[in-house]
Amino acid sequence: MLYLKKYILFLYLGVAAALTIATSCSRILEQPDGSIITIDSVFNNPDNAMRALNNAYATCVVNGFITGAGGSGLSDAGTFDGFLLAASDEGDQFGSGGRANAFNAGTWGPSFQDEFAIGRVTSGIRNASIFIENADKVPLINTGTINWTAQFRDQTVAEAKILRALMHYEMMIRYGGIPITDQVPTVVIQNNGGVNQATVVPVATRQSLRRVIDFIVKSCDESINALPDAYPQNDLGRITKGAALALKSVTLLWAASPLVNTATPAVSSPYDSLLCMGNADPARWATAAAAAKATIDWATSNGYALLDDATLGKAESYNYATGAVFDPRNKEIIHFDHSHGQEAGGANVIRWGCPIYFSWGNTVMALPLNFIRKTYRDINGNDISIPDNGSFTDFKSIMKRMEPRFHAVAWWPGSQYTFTGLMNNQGGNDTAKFLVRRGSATGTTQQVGAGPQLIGNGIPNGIHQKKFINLVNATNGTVNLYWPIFRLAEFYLDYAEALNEIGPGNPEMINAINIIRRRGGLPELAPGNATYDQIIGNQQLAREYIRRERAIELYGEEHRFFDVRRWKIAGQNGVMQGQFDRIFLHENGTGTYVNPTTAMNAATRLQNDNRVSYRIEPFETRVWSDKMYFYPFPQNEVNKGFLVQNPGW
Amino acid sequence: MLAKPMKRLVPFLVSPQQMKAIRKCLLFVLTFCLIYQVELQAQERTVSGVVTDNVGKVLASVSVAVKNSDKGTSTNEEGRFVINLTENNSVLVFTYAGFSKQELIVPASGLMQVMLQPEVNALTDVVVVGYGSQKRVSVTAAISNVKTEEILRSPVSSVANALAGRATGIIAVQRGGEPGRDIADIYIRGVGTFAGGNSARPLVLVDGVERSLNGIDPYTIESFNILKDASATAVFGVRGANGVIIITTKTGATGKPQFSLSSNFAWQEPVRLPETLGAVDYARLRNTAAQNDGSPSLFSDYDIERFQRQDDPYFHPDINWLDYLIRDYSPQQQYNLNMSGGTTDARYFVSLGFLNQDGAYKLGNFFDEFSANPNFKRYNLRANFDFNLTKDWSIAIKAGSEISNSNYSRSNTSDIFGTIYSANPMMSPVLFEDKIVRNVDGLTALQISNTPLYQLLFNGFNENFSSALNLNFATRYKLDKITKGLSTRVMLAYDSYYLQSVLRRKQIPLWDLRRNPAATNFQDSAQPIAVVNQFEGPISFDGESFVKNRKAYGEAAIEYTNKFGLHNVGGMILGTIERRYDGSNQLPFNYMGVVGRATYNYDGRYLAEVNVGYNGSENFAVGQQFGVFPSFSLGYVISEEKFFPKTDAVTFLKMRGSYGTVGNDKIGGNRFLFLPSSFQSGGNYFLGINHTNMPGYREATLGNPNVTWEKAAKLNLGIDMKFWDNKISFSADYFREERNDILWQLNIPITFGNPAIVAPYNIGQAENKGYEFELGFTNSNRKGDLRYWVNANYTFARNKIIYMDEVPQPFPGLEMTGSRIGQMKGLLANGIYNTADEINDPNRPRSQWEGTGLRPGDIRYVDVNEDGLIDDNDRVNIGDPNIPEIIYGSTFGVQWKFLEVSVFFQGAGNVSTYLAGEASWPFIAGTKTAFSNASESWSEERYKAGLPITLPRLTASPEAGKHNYRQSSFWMQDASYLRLKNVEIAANFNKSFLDKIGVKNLRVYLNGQNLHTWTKMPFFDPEIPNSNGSIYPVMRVINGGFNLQF
Repeated sequence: MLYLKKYILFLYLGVAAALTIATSCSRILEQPDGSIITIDSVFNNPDNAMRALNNAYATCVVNGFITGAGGSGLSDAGTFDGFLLAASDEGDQFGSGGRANAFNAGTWGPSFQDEFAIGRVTSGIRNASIFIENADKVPLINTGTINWTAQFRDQTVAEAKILRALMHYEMMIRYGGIPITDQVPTVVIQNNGGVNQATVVPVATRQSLRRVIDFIVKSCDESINALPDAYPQNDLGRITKGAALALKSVTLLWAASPLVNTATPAVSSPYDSLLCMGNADPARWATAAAAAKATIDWATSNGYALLDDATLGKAESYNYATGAVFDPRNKEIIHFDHSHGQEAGGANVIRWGCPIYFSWGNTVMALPLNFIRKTYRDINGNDISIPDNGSFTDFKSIMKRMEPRFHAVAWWPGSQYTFTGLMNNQGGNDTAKFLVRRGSATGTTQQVGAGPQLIGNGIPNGIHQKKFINLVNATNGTVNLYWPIFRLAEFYLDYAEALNEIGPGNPEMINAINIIRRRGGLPELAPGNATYDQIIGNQQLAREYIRRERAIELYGEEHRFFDVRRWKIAGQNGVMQGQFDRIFLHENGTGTYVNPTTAMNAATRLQNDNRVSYRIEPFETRVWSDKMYFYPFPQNEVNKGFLVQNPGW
Repeated sequence: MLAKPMKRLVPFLVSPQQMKAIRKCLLFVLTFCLIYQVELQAQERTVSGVVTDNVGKVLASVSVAVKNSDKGTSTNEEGRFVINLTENNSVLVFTYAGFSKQELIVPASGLMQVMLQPEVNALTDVVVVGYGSQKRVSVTAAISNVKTEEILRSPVSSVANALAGRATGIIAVQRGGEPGRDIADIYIRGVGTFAGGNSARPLVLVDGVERSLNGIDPYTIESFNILKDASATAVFGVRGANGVIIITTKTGATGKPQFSLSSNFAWQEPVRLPETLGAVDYARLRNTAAQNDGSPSLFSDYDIERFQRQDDPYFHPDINWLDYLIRDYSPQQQYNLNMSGGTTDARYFVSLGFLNQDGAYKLGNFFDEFSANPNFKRYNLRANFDFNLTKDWSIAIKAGSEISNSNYSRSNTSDIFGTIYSANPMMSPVLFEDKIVRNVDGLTALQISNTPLYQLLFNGFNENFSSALNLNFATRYKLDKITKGLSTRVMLAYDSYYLQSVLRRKQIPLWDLRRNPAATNFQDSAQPIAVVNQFEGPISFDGESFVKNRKAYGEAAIEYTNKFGLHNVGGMILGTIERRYDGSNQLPFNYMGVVGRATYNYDGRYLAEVNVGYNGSENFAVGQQFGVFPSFSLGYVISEEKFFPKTDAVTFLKMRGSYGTVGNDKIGGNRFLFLPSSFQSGGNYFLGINHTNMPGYREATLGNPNVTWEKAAKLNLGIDMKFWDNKISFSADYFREERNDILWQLNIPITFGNPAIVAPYNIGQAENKGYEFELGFTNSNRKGDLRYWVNANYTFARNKIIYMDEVPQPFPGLEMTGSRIGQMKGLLANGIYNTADEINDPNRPRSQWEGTGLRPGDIRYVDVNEDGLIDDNDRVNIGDPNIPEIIYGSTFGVQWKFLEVSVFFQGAGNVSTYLAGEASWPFIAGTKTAFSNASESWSEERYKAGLPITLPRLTASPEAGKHNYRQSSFWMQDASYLRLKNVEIAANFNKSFLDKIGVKNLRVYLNGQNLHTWTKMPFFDPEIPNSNGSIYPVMRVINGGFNLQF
């Protein structure tokens, strides 16, 4: 047995030795090594560097389409669950759950704003800055896919600078003066009295509005010459010279506008420089006009023009101009968001926005009747009159006389969804379901018409916006979505607005307006024309006219919401406050209306329609307070002690 | 010679071993008769008997002494003794290590059946400590234990569910009752960290290796110890801060084969289910809600009449979903057969266990092809062997295997119960001629979703098979030859775990019910016509998943213990290494370390101990992987001092204290946070007319090169006492812990870009302190046939967040710093506005959520910051955290002859549960369920009549964002409770007649778990988590069984 004992002793010693060796050998405690993609490995190769630029694009997004609850965290994806149009007078989101309603009810604030994800914007700024700071580390080589020359490098840096400036712009129009982030922020841990606290460099304090405007304009100026006029087809969607000019133009227009071109901001504040330019300087209009003209000049010399195609007709030309980015006829979009592409049938943006196809009942978007009354005109450009009560037949005939751009954005009971017939087999024809009140003007509602059942309460606000969604594919419900960020039409309107402020009656102003009117299907402004005669030489009336034209032309494209702020008219009755109206249909007597069918002949249909009347009635009273000219920062961020909250919040 | 007739006499005996036993018995009886005769003839009489322990196991080598004489003997291997007495000697004294001394008067018959009771906190008790064991008397650390027999009283599937209130320091919460998934969450002395995930959970060791507590067969547990303070857990270094549970499985005892067969059959029923409204009440109250909202009634008088008459089961159904879907009782069986025995050189314990737990869904077996009802089967096999190869060399092999086979509906339990609580009573007739109904004419407005039955079935089922294998090989070699008291040991362990989960589903046939168009009267129109909505599909495979883990563990130690006069010294140096592969493609998880321990005691009076853990893991940067965790403890047994009065009043008094640091590397499940900042694929954008997906690189993490484990500095002060001849024992501990370096997200301004990519830093600080005490009393009459005992224990632990780099808040009540971990914030409700005057009071604070104005029946909140506005800034701490601060338990037992009754009460205090959504609010979304208290919602009539009001005015759209449904104390429930947790009535038949049939002991018992609960919590079991109530209910278990030893 002795040998065995010795053996055991040996065994023990062996194990002990093994353990000792193991302890001293860090291989046992295996750790990952070499598989990490560091910033150096990203920027030591042009292909990888381009991926960092793609990431900057993916996070510097302006996208008015909702893509789901919270817009999938996009910086600007409508309001939560809806389009931003419903948060101003051009629209409404039916039901109390719609987040846009918070803006109308005045219940939004530092802890509940639901429109702008500031974190997404700052992360876009960060990603663009990472590219800008590191692009010069990339060796000048040709990888086969990318020929990384000094010129190409400068171009990509310019793209990233515009993206970063665009994000600053998006923040600036909401908050006023904001922190300027012109380098990659880094975390610094400091030990304060035994505890570790984090701070960020550059420090996250707000800069004056003037500096922010200067920063955006400077970013544009630095980049314009490095950017190309156009990209190959496979690169469409990247920043062109035109996008830089456009960003500069809208920034300078903002700086010239009444909200900020003043010494006293809309809300009194201890930090006026954050909210206004510090003085009222009419010369800013001239700068803005020049920037708009530069954009237009660049556009026209590069083949851009408003889409006005005879085969499409006026309404569909306008419709395609915003929605069909890649339609060869469309030369109007200067810069657009490419993050969507084709959305599947039943995607949130279709369900939320479409009154018929996949109606979500309580979140459909509507056009308030008071907005229609004050904004849209008839086919001849004359004001329309919609009486408070009338027959369904009368209502239909008024609607039919409306100008083409109205037909492109609105659907009313008994109308076809689109003129090109898309969606007709989904109930989008003129017999599609709508609501009438049974028996009397106060009766219970019921759904009438053909097509799929409307969910929930249907579409009680009467007239529904269908911009963007009326290009839905008839057979599978898909739609191609590209949010227009800069569309040429805007710059004609910017230019006209600025020229009018410089001095009334400028022929270039009339010319710019006429370009818009011509495509809009309205008679051009010329001597003898009633509108022309009114506004020519009258700066105030011309201003009102241009604002109205802008409301129509840029309907639903997230302009109205900011324009009423920029013009400082949000507080006016019917703009962001006061009574809002809808129309409601009701039967003249019990049970007389029958569901219309396509088989009905015109006479029967008319007879049927005559059994129904309409009534205009208020549906809500909206609330405005001047502090709402500037967004509140999230309370949590203010609490961190770096950001000064906007006044009143 | 005797064998043949015996065989005829007892034909039911089959095994030769038992025959042998019977033969011996018979021999014994004959011998006994002879002795008896002898005694009759002489003045001196012979007394004989059998000594067993409290569960009937015979005890060998029990000292049997004649009182007031030097005469004595001891029991043989079969527990028997024979002693001759003179008339003067009438009292026998039985003593045995670990058991209470018993003095018994010799009965006239001279036959004695002696049952010794295990001593409570016996001085000779051995306590399992980290990497070893110690005599309880010399322990200076805070260690408590749960007795196996107490665990066995609870007819529960998982040991974890039997622990609450059984020992100090354990805070256990059982959140639900689904078979196989009902395992209680366990914390030792509360929660010491807020790092999230499982970071506050204790380390659980089974036979010295980190293993799950869940699958253990309770019949195989030898000891269950809870290590609480730094002195006890410092040796576990980076893993010890949350306390350690050490479970040791049974090993064989020297002797003949002992068989033990246990059989249990139990009924489970939900402890508590909410009472939901029937159709008539639902319709009426829903109409009231609509009226309150100013919207049209949902139910006409006609509808209500039909509901009342119950004569239209298809178009006016009235379903109580809980009754419809939940069984009154579901069965559970548990069996165990084990065998132990051996010689001094080879001992074995082999155990086979089986558990079968059935779920509560009534219609889970609607289709023949599958069951959506949970079922959990567990097979436990264990074989533990000990061999003494030589005088100095022993080895131990412990092999355990847990195999489970379980079946569940593929729908999440929370979805199933969520749907049950989302369903109104009239949404669907559910079945029509055994067809599952989808749409019903006229019910569309109420039928917003599928029925709970469909929810249960349509996802199909999920079949799981798991097998876990645990192997320990340990060997010990005594090195007394080198120097006395030196020994060395090695333990190697290998665990593997495999889980296969198969998902199968079928398209469920659905039918729509239409009204009969030909109907001319009500009877005909009430008989629907069924139209296919969805066709039936075949069972199809829908995916499977695997989990494969394996772990290797090794430890090697050199131990030393010796005595020099009155100086007792001990020491240990041990190395450990562990490598675990979790089955995914991750790098293995590794631990390495060295442990040192030195103990010293002087004459059992002055005790001192130093423990040091030095260990680390792969999870920290090179150079910062290892940490030193020292602890020191002292003890003073005053009762051993000469000056201490030797009376029966105070027989033992020990004071002890410890201080040390321990680590916790369960820092939210993060790995390799020290790695440099990195990028990852992602952030793709689209370019070009073909919408080409352009790949991106985005930042993944910003590294934290200094990441480290949490550090806990723990202080423990304790006192142990015994009184009244050791009949009463008392133990109390005070503890205080400061936890530093809690890994926590930095407070970074949003302009940084994406704060989420910044790795967390070790910045958090928390403290946790409390006390616990334990009181035991046990007594028996002189005859030894009546014994009674009381045990009580109480644990209180309260934590506090000291620092967490929190975003500064405008009002102190909003800050988490200074609050307890898991503290909920909310508005402070102060009743309900009852009158229009209260609403119109110009001084009434306005609510941010009042919209067009509040109305009577709305909740009144306290304007905490007194700014005239009720908003989120008025939030303060509401209620207690969801994990109790107080857990207590008390056992009362009495044993009279063969009968034994024990009653166990357990309670919890300082705990709240937030019930929101479906669990509290009637008519969510206008159609969801309403509990019976909907009738107690505010109305002017109720207010004026002075009737109890428990809900604000009804509305058909309660939403979390609305004034009445904001997170507030109104919906916070006091979840403290007192339970009649366990009652057991048992009969121990260990009379000698059992011997005739080869049975040594038969114990028959009836016990029950969760028998009655006293709580303020409405509708649900108080242990459910903060939720909307969609939890599988905790079960009450009534169990009958027997244990047979032969």
